[in-house]
Amino acid sequence: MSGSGAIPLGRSSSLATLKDVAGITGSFAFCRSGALVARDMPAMFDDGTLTEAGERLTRVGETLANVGDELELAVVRFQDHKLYVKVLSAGMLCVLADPQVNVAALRMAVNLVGRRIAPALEEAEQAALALAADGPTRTEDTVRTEIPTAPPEPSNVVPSNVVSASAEPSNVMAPHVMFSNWASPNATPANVASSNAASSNATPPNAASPARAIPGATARPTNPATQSVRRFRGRTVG
Amino acid sequence: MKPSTLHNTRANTPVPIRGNEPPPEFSMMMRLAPNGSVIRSKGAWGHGGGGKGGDGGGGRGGDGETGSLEEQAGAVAYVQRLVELVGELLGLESFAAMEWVFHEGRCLVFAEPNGETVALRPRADSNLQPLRESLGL
Repeated sequence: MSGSGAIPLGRSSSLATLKDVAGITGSFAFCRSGALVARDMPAMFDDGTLTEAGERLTRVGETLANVGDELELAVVRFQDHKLYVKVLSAGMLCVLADPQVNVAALRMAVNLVGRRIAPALEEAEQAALALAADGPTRTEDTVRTEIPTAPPEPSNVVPSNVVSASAEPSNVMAPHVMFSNWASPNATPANVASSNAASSNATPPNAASPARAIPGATARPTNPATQSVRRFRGRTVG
Repeated sequence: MKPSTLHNTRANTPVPIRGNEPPPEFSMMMRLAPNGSVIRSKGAWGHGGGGKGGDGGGGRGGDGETGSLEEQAGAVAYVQRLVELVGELLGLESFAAMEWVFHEGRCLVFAEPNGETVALRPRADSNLQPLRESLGL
């Protein structure tokens, strides 16, 4: 957004009506987040400057609200200028004026223009809020896809595997082959099997003895808990 | 309005509130040093104070509302700084005074030539026009 060209005609023309009051240099409106929504200021004021001013004026309102005072309007007197700030439902309307401006007429004009641009400010505020709400979700998703899947705890996986293996003993892969990728050093096939034996009576005979593992079976990098097809020498078996 | 009173730079700002006593149309007054400390306060600044008035000095408040007084002093000092920054951004000259209108009540803040800041809260029925004119508001 640069100059007044990018501002929708309706809003900028609404602001232009403020110049019917003598002594108005220009005006701009920004939503509660400080984002510039409309402007009718001389070109020497760039959008970045007005946005920064808007953010600070928003902070003025927040500061006063923090001590229990809900700001409605503010008139700030500088040496040769006056800044008239009207708080709207979703932002602020700021008017830069000469010191000799008719404040009563300005107050009336600002009230009317403020009522007219309030819907646009609310739209802009909603859009800013939606954007802010979308941002973290997207980041979270990105991060989530980058986190490698941690292998499950062997103690949680083995019993269910063994139980299912007890139903179909021919599909059981040897424990030292199944867990060779991620089992803890203590979780040797023997003690895994023995712990299984201690916790379940349905331990298959081949699960207790690594020596009875299927010959030639290779370790697979996939999680055995989710492995539904057993392969032997490249062929699906069972 | 006389043009001379409108040009209230720090050098020639008329000082409507001299001394420590606010005019009767103001229920509260606070004078802040350039470093933000409370030099003098009058009245019950802050909320929930039950309207108890008081007089304080030496940066201690003195009305039993020190927390609220300090909060209000901090808010006044911070807002003044923000407004000065806005003025710098927009190429405006030095800050002279401001008036805040709240849902309930209003507050006038102005800078003294010696760098001190005075904040005033008028009574609901007080006539602010003379002070506004002298401050150029």
